[in-house]
Amino acid sequence: MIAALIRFELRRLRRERILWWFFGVVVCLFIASIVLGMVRHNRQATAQSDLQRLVRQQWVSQPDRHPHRVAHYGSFAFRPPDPLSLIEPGAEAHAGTMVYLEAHRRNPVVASDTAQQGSLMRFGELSVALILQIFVPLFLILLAFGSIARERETRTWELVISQGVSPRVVVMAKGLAVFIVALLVATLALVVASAFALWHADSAAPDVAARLVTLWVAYVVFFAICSFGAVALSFFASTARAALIALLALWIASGMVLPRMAAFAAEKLYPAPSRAELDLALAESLRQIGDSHNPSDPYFARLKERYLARHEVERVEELPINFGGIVMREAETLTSQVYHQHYERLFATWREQEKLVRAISLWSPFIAIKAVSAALAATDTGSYAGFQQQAEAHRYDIIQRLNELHAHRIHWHNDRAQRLDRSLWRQFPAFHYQYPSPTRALHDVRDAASGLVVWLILVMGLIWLVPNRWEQLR
Amino acid sequence: MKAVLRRLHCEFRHAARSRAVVMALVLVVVAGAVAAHLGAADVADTQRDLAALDGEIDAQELKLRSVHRADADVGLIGYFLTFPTKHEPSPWAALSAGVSSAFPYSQHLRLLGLVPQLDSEATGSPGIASLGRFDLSFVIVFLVPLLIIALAHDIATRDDELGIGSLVAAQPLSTFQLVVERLFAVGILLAGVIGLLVGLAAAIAGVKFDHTLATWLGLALLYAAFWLVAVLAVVAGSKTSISALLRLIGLWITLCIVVPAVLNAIVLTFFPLPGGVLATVEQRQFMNAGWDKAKAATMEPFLARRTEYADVSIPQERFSWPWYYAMHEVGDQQVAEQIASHRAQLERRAQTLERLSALAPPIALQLAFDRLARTDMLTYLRHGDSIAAYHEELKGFFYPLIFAEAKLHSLRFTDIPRHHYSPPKTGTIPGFLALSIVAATGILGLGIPWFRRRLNRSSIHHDD
Repeated sequence: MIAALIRFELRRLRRERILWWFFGVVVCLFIASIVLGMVRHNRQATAQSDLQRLVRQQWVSQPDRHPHRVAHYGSFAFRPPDPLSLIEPGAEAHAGTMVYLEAHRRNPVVASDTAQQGSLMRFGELSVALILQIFVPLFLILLAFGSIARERETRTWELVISQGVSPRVVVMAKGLAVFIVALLVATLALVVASAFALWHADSAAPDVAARLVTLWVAYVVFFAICSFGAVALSFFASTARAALIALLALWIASGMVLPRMAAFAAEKLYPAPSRAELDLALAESLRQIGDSHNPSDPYFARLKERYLARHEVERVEELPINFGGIVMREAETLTSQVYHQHYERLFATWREQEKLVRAISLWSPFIAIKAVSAALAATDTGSYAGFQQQAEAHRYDIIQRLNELHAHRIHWHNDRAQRLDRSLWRQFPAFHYQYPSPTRALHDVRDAASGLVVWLILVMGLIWLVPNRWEQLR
Repeated sequence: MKAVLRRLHCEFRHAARSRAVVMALVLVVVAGAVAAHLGAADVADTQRDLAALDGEIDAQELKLRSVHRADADVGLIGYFLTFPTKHEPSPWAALSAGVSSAFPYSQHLRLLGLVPQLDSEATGSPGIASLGRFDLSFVIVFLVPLLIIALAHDIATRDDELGIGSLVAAQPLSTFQLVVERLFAVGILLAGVIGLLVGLAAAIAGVKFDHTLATWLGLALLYAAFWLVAVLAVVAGSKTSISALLRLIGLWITLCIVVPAVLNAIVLTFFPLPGGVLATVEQRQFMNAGWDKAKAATMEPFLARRTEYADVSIPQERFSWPWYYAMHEVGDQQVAEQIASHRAQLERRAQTLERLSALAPPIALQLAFDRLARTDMLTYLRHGDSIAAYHEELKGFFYPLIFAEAKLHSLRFTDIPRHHYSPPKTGTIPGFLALSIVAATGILGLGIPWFRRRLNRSSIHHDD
């Protein structure tokens, strides 16, 4: 029975010319987004790995140098794009791509697309995600808005119901018909997109296949919400036009307006320090800690006493190690801690903001799917903060290795005039970006994922509200 | 004339009877007011943050004087000093945020090489930024057309669907005339809403009621006029309200989402600008090479530019501060061409986008608002220029001291130049952008005789 109803509904949909038109446009946009995204993704990935290689090349071909000289020469970390950013660019364009790593300072990550692109960035990017999150739901609305309301207007509804079929079953069947179309679209779109994503995937990116399958599941749930929700609304609306207007209003409100309002609310309720505030706070904290350049600074004076006592000598010149290097090492630890505290606080604020946005997803499945898909594609804020932390850890590591060399291989006497052999630079690790783990990402957005499930249950509940017997209809 | 007024009155009553319409109008005005309030709070926060920077150089002086001896070289002090820059937001930034979230309002500049300091990133969460910005310009660019569509998509087909089509057709009034009158009624209503929206937002944001406000209002009304003509074009070719609604929504998505997104993708894909990053990497290489070369290799190109220091003798065998700063400057100099060409490319890209915006009035309007609010790309490029100029000014202050081997005790911190960038008022109407909206409206308007024939023919068919 249900199968016959679904077949019947699908036949009706096939005859709608405007739907084919719309479908054609969406397919064209999809192809354009894949092709353009591909070109850009590959260029970005190549550019980033080329630059990382160039920087490594420059590092190892340094001449004989004093280790502290090398620490000031520093290095760069470049953020490679995740293969799945082709499908869900998420925060990609708003996130910096490069950071300069040097002694004493933690520099901001810079060179994001937005900083180059200007105002157009506000309109959003053409991407598979835009199509799946905005256009496909609209397509489903167009499929579903008239499914029952129109039959009622053309009086075929009574004809169906008088056959003795339960209205609830009819609504369910029509919902399933729309959902089948959605399932096909989601599967096709993700299979094609995945083929491209996997084709050029960086082998270091973990579990691309598993993430893609999870992504598919998330989109199927999201489309189920759209399909069944739209058909249910078509049943409860008085006319097809009322159903269409209500669905369009919902689509715009929850797909376009609410995410922006959520972002604004998050920024207001959990304000992140501005660059000016952060820089000022950093400057003040850095002034508080011991000053390695001040011979009478109490912290470093104590450090000196400790070292002299440990080695049972009178003067720093007599120490078996270079006390200058020790001071550099201690100072780096202190300043790094200050930067760490301030940046971790910033990242914690980001997490609070995102949590609030995801909480608002209980009012909008659009926000939920965006959060889940960005987390799976590793283009969420958490992944970006992860890059910053990795780059900082790398910076700290190489600077402290250099300070160790300074302490052990450079003599106190005539410190600055000495140089270390160039062969040493090869022994330093290169920066390798560790892609974030997908399980971490999913764990982060479990609230949004459960939000999707809640929405599915709600929508199914809406269909359950449809009377089971036609006598119960108004 | 009286009859026209009576019919207009009927239209308003019709609109006022629909609870959904009234609610949508109220919601849009409230949304605009809330957006303006939050935007104004943002601007106030920024101003507070900037004001807090005032004491920064004094605080550094206190610290530096306590740590270093009075006879420490000014060169050494210059190494530690940072100079906060200030970009004063225009109060209009509250109403159109533009690209302001991508750029910080302040950065702590150092006297060392400028190139690595040219880029600085704001501290906002990129994920939050990717959700989009909710401000008055969003309400006008995206939501006002939807209001027009909601109010006007059925102006030609409404009577038939209510079953009073023949009654209306019996009036001594052509369908075209009726449709235009109804559109006029919607126009008046919308003009009221836009006036209220912009006026309220301006009052909340605390901007002056000057010609910028008039321009803002004029652009919004022009944009509404474009959509009214677009509605006329679509309803003339649609048989039912539903098909008119679907086509109008299609047009809205095309102009507000598809065209900008495609343009964005095309520009990002085919006109990449990798130059900035590469120049930064190369500057480091050039600058640091100075350490491994003879001092003269650094001083010669430096003195060629700054002849005023030609007679200062630089120690050849040991470190000296004049040489140290010269090395940074020469590093900058070696990538100066690349940086300049990158800057020119950015400007060209911003201008190209402006020209391409003629393809879709929503983009033109957004860019015009951003420009009026001084949150557009060009403003930020000029902000970058002002930072470069400030860096030069700082060097102009410190170099004479450093080259004369002045000591800390002779350094007067109060004389250090301060940075303050207040983007210049554009004042004038962003001509090209306004013109492109006028042109789009005009091109659609050319079809009016055809719309008229279509609409009037459809009513004759109805009489048959």
